[in-house]
Amino acid sequence: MMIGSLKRIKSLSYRRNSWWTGSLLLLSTGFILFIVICSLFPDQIASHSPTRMDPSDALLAPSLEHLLGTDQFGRDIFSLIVHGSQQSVVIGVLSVLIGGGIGALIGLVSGYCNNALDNTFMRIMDIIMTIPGIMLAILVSAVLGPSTLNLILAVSIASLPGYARVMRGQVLHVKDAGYVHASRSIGLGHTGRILFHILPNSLPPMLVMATIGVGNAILMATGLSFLGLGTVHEIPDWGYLLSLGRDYLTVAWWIGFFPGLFISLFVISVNILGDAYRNYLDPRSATS
Amino acid sequence: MRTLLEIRNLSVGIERGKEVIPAVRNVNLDIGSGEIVCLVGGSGSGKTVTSLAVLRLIDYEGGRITGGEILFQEEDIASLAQQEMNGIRGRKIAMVTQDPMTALNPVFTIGNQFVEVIRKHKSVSRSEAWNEAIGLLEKVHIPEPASRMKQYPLELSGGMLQRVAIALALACQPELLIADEPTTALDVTIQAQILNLLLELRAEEGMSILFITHDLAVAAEIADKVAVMHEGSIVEQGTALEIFAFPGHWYTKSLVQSKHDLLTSSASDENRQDDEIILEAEGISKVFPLKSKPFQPKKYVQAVDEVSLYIRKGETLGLVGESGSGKSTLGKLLVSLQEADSGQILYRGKDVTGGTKREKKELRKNTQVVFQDTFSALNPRWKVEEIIGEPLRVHTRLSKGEIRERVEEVLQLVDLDPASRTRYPHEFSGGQRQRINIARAIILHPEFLLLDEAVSALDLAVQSKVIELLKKLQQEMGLSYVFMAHGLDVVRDISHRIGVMYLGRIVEIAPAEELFTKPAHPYTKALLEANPTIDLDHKRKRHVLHGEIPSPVNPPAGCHFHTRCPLATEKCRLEAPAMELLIGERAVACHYPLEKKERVELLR
Repeated sequence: MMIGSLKRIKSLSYRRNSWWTGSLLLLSTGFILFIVICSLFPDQIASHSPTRMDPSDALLAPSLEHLLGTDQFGRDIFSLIVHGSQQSVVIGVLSVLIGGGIGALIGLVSGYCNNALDNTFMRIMDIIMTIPGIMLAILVSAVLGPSTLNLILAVSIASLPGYARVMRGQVLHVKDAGYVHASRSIGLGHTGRILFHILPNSLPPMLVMATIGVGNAILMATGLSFLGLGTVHEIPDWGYLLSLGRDYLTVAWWIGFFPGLFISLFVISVNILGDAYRNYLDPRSATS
Repeated sequence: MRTLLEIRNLSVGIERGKEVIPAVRNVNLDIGSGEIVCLVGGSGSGKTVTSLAVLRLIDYEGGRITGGEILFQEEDIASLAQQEMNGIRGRKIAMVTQDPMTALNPVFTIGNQFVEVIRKHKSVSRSEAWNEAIGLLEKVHIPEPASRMKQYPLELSGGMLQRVAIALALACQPELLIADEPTTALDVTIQAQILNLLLELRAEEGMSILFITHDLAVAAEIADKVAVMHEGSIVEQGTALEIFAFPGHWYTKSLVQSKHDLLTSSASDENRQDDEIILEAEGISKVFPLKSKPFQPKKYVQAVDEVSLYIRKGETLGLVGESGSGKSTLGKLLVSLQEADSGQILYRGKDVTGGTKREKKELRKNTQVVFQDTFSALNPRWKVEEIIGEPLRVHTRLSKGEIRERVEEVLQLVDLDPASRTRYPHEFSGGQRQRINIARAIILHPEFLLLDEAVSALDLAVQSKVIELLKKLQQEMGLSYVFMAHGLDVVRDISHRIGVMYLGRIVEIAPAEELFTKPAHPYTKALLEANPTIDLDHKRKRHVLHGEIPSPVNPPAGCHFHTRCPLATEKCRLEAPAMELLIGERAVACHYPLEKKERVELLR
């Protein structure tokens, strides 16, 4: 009993610096907005045409003319990033939504039923897990053919087991909570229990996982593009830009550095936003 | 008597950001060598903080000693470095905590944990340490100590583990043992055994004990000296006799009073409105299969075994018994949260086992449950009005406004501020949360409430208030209760009749007062004797029930209780006694009941 109140005092003593969190949140939101605008109106933001090649401008360091420098063909890196944002964001967000959504559903059903069906689902997930993610994605893309949609599908399937397992664990835990038993004793049916009690209380870890998953998805898509299984348009996505820069890392660090920076910033921003949303949903964190 | 520990003007603060919140203020306490001192108080009163400060473990809990000194053998612990404390902790001052399961490392065998501790403080070989550990286990009366040494904590019962934890604390012959609620999580029978053990060890080893408890009766059983804590200060201290017979401070008085209230007031028959039977169980049984290894016969746990009982309108039936006796399962069967394997459950004379979905829903409307864990029973993401209004949304088609009205009404009924409906569960105290639970249970005006350890997690003062509320609601709404608790006094206070369970069977059932004053079953008698009281001739020789409740996987043949019964004969070993009516509503299942039928009739 006493330990409980001790813990309560301790959790209170951990007071977040609200000024710092607030400005971080503002920055992340701003960055994500910027990326979204970039992906919607790339022509208005980009300083150069992403397809304009000029050998005389090749491998220029960042300057006022070329904010983030140029690549080996003389293309403006900033413009490439702006134009590539659309594909990266679409791949990252969509594959997380699809993979996380289906994974959560499988986890929910598995955890709630916890019977032969659960066993079947989980063994299938285990099988998917034994194949390295990138290998699996290669397999899917190779079978379905290279296209953005197939790329998204491939990445989603590879990320399924992780989501399903985490969700199942959460559901197994939440399912035994007193309020779920209480709602049963009140007379609430299966659907009501799942929708009103189990789902809302199982989702928070999924939210955290999904925000990290966005970055993973972008990088995995990169790998596929690199192998020629994604979609290599004339405008490369961020991941592909990053891998292009690798060859020139010693002479022109900016080619790889800036796309990488954008991926990191995007992932961090999504993460911070997801965290804030999770806190917003949790009434317990509101008062402390 | 030499003074071992002197606490002088001790103040402890908990750091919260930059400010320090005082948790303990100006505590003065002396512990003489060989003395047992009890710190008594409600939760949050600073008992544990004080004990942690003595061990300087408070530094790791975000706390700081802000003033005063702790003189242990004339050395000031408060000013020692943590490095120096390591020589004192374990060696001179040892600690036993409330939950023995978390105090022992689950991945090491009992033996390994002993060897680690012994070799940490003494330079002995592994085998010497091993043998020493066996000796320690013998000292705390653990049967077959040598084979226990190779077992993991998980394989032992709670009572056994607490013995192991005590033996572990004794490993270096400490001069002071700090026991923080060591018996709170245990059954009364096991509690009595542990208390006896501590008294015995004190006599043998001459060590001092700082015993922390919220239960006055436990303090009365064991203490030489009692200190009552309230809101971070010691409000009163003195010998056990002084404190319990002549309490001075209002807080002590209220504590003693609430304990007395429990003992003197018991639900009288006048409250009972009529003889209409609401719920009836006829020979219900429930068996759980255990997970078995392949190629081995499947094992079963007989959780409830041919139990029959009835509950009248407006009546409270109490259920007592050690953990593992099947109380909770029986409760779940009664409200159809679990299906009985055999037997019938009649609700208002109608069989409800295996009913249709609609019948079930109707039954759920009329039978509600209040759970023990006040926190987990409330969805943390919902506001109070959503929680309490849930049954209305499931069973009725009321509008939002009507639901709000009913919620406010019912909040008033359980003595909560109707304005608190927009708050979240975590903003309430344990007692208030239990009121919310009760409010949710009664909003549909059910006829029957299952109270599964509903007040067990609450402080004594809060407990008696919740009990009062339950009694009030029973009178106003004509509710019937089945009330389960491991605290016997609470059950006596609220129940009209009490059933005693042992290994899935009801062994005795009788009106509350008669059961407490003239128990007929030896097990009932043993339970009552194990129950601590604030009776002041507490040095009376008590008859402590030996051993623990046997595993329900392999219950003893014949009368389940024969393995621990002082009266058992060959007949008990072979033949299970049937439930026999003594008189009126008293029934007992025993071949040699302490109250004979003829005698009871004669006395009438």
